[in-house]
Amino acid sequence: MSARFEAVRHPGLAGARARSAPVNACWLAGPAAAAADEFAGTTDAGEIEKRAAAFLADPGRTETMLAPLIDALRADPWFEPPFKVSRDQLRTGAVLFDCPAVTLSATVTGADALNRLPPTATFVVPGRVTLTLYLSGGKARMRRWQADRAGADFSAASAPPAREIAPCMLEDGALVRQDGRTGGHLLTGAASDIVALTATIKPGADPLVREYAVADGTLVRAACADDTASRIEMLLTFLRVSGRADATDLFEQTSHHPAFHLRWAAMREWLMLDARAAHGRLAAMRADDPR
Amino acid sequence: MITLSIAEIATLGTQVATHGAIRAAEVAGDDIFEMLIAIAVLVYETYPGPIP
Repeated sequence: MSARFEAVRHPGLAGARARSAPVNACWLAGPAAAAADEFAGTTDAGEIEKRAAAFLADPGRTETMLAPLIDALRADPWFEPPFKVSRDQLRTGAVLFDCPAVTLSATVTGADALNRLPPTATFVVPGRVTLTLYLSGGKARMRRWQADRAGADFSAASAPPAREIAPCMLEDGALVRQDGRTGGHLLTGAASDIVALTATIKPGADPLVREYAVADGTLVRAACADDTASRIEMLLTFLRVSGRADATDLFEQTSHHPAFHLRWAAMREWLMLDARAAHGRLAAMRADDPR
Repeated sequence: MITLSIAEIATLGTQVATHGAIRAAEVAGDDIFEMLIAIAVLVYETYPGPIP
């Protein structure tokens, strides 16, 4: 049985956030900004991918970037690095830095959990190109699938199933490129923990994240890959619930958005708010936006 | 002004969930939580009075 954690026994915990703040501010303005600068000045996905590959291929690059935070952690075990962190039974991940071109994240996947947990029923086609450096591949097996790209005419009802292709083994030090617009993967059967650094290339991403069934490759569900589109959708709901009929222009503008689901979400909200005002645009969408 | 209820409007053939509803392992972070907090803050700032 694990001992109960009592904060009072750890006086260093109080004020840890305040102690961490100046170190983090310094790091964000220095090493993190320098890393982001390496991806500045272009929105070309191919160029960003080339720079990300160079970043990951340099064995000391990430270590140099993180060095001030590791020093701070050595000096103060309650130091809180400025990272978004996620944890579940299988993996611990942290976003090391995020800029308009790329997100760099670190992930440790536990071999024990991977081998103990029941196999997952679905895999994800994330819609983005990623480069992953497996610092420790754990001799895991990577199952891989290919799917058609989700274009502007994507329809859940007619989406063809994903097709499983030959698996590969993860070797230590392998740099693996995944085109998440047309493929997904799952890791199985690791001999040891898997430690990975992943650069996710943002430009050129597809608008949807898709989830498929492992058993037969059929599409299970889709989600919006763009947080701005989801925020707009929520804000339109807020305007409608608030009865803001004076915001007609915003509903009209959003009904022309490139993302089909956002166009139609805007129209649904507009109809609920003011069907008479929405009618003209609805007729136009009916003619040229068959969803 | 004519308003329609949600039940009177057809649903989209391809349903698309909110960003973050499907988690891709490459990107960490609780996106849905952050978006809900953002909208809750906005609602509170717009209507700061106590809930009746």
